[in-house]
Amino acid sequence: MKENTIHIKNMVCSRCVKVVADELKTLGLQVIDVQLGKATYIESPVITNIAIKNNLEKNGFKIIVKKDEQLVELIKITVLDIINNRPDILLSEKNFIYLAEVIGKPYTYLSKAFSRNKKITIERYFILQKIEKAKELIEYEELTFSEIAYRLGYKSVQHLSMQFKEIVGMSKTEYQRLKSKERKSIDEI
Amino acid sequence: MNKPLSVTMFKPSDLGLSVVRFSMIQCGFNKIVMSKKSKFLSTPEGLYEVNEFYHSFLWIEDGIILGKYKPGLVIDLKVAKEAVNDRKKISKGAIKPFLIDITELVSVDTHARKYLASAEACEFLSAGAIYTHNKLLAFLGNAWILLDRPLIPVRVFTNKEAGLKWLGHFKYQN
Repeated sequence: MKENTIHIKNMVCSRCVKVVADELKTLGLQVIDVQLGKATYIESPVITNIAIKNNLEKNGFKIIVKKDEQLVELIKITVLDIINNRPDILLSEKNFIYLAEVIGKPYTYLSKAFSRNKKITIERYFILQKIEKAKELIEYEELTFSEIAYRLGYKSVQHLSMQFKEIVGMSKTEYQRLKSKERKSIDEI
Repeated sequence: MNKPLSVTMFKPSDLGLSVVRFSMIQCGFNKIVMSKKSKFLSTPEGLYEVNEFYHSFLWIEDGIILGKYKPGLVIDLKVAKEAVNDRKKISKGAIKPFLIDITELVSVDTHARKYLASAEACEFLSAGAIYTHNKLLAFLGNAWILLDRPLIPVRVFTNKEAGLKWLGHFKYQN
């Protein structure tokens, strides 16, 4: 039996990993490994690629075939990992070095591929994701705004305030006052 | 029900075993049983590799450095620098959050306070939680944060669990 690895778009968290694994198992596939952005399984003669594609798409995922798109997805996953799980990397200001190290390609190469596909730069994508994370942390009400700025690797709280206002269109205080806070799904950024 | 455990401890050569045992009890470790070779300590607190230094006990628990100053400690600049160096040995060059129990601390002088808020003292730290159930020490801790403005986020907690939860935001998540 032959192993097959598919690259999947919009997997952003551990719950996505579980959903993808469950969907593949539901189809009757023998799943070997599922990670953010990809899944490996034993090919089955009775389960078509279209069935796999349909099952994943109904959960908001998409199979990606093009190498460039796979690379962009890997960059997105690594950026999210840095923001959510690696405050040490954000604090050491080595985001881009770390990104290049993890993916194993020069940063300039990653940057060009990302800009070409996403129509925004990696730096801008980082900022957008950091602001979404800031919104999440504001809602938890466990950290002060200064602590959030520090946690996300900003040099000062003023810098975060400025970026927050530019991207969200309102100050942090105005955002806090909103009854229904508008949060973007991170896979839509 | 607490799980049984053993703790590995590196004993400074100039300290007698009875002193180590007494210090551990004073720091809140109880029911200490020393092995024949005295390299292991068992307590009902958890399974940790506790490193004993001259001024403190330090160990890593779930990605957070935890520490406890020894009873009666008076921190001047020299002691502060030594304590920071000890903590850096535990950090091993990785940025981690830090919770220090200052309940048994006696005093910290002005030079030490300024040093502890400096970039050098905050190196390899992502955040700091000062834990004490002593209200006066908590007040002094908050005054230090306000006046000396440490370069990393620091908060005083009278509840250790709350401190660890807050530090969780600043730790490397696996």
